[in-house]
Amino acid sequence: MSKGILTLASNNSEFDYLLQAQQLAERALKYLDLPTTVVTDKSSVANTSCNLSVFENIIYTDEESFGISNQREMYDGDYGFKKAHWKNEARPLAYDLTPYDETILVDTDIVICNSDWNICFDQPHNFMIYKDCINLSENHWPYQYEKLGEIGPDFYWASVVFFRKTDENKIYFDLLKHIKEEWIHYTHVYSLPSKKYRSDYAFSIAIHIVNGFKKGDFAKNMPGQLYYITDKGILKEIDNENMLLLINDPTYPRKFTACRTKKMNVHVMNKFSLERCLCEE
Amino acid sequence: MRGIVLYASGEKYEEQAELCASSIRKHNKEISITTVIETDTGRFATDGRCNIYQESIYDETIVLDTDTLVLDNLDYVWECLSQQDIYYTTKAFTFRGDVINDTFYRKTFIKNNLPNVYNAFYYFKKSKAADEFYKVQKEVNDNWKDVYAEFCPFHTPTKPSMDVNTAITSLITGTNFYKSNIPHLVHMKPRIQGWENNPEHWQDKVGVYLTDDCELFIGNNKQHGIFHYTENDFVTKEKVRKYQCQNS
Repeated sequence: MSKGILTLASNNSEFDYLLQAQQLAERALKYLDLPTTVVTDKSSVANTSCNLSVFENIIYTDEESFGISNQREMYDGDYGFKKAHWKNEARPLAYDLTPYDETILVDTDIVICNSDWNICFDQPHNFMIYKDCINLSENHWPYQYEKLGEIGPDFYWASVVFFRKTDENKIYFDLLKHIKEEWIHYTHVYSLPSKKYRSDYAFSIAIHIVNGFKKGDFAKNMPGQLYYITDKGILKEIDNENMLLLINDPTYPRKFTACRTKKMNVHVMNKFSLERCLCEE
Repeated sequence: MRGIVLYASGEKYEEQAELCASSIRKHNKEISITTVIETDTGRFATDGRCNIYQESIYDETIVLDTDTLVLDNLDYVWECLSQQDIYYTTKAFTFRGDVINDTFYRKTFIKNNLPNVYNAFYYFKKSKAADEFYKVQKEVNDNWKDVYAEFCPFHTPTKPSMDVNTAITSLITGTNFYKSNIPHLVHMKPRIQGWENNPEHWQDKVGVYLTDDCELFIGNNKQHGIFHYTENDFVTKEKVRKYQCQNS
């Protein structure tokens, strides 16, 4: 059975997602001994400082596959923000595009620092995803990432997803495509707070539907823990499996606490600081 | 012989009992159902409920509150519970399927270390153990003030409660209830649904959808097991009609 990492990268004027994908591929090889396939578009390849040779495969898709460009405020610590564009609608294509029998679909801004995810390949469950991720800042609204709103089902993180090529998973990803196409309808049905497409919500809704509109056992938890900092935190340093992060205090603007991590996988949502660190390496 | 008893203390619950019976009938065509409508409820609503064991015509009985809907076939429940003499639900779920850790409505239980039991659904088999249990339960109910003073000195209820009566009876008789998720009991009191902003009535917060096939959705969450809706205005003519169509 072939196995590997799949990641999606479509650059925009603010971020070099391919450069982020490069760090992911290098670390996947180092800590998991896995090759990486990147799904991208020709325009991104033309505008990157990424070393493309790190990828086992480069799959080109048209820019439309990544969806319409959403715009939101992206912070760089809590000092300031830029209105940045991002396109995040290609994840439902992961099943069709992956060249692997066993795939770990990973966001480009996740920094792998251990081999926990190798357990995926030695266990029987065909679909795994994180139900809970740990915010390195303890001060956050506790319900935000537990449920889809006050009356909705469980929230899952689409940042890291393990799946095998199975008939059931094919149905799941086809359902994701349908949810993406009828997104506005599903925002009403699930009383979502925003009309903007969000992968976490789409994956959560699809899990709920596959489970028969109730709690079920289709999705199992990914091995290990995934930690994260929001875009108001700052990644300061990466040194192999060690990271230095500045964690913001939401109750006290511009107050940060330094935090060192070792052998912890961290989702760095502050992409500005991630790219600064990558450029310094 | 197996059967289900629906107990309503007062004629105003007749419509609830009718809806509950229809929901049972949809999934359990053959089961015998007895509805007890207590018109003279005596001192307290608990008085009549203490007689159900003696009055039940069945060898094995499931007792349901009338403000419940049965959303599944109960064959598996009978098979599991027939191993027991008495069974009370000790675990309930939110409409999203999460286990309820009820601290809001269960202060008496928590502060006095009483076993957490729900009377919305229970089962008994005519047996020596059940004879003894329900005899003691009746005594607890008849002498509730003295008994509560001894067993629940903290957060003492101001009137008798069947849940508290049953919990105390289990302590006196040394009955350890079988711990199980069976049946899946959804309890809809609003403050235990895991909401940050709690409404007074749960139906003000989340939509109720009953399909023509009588599948029940709360929000977009499909319900199963026993659905304990707790609010009287949940029963509407439309819901009654849909169940009648299913059973006709």
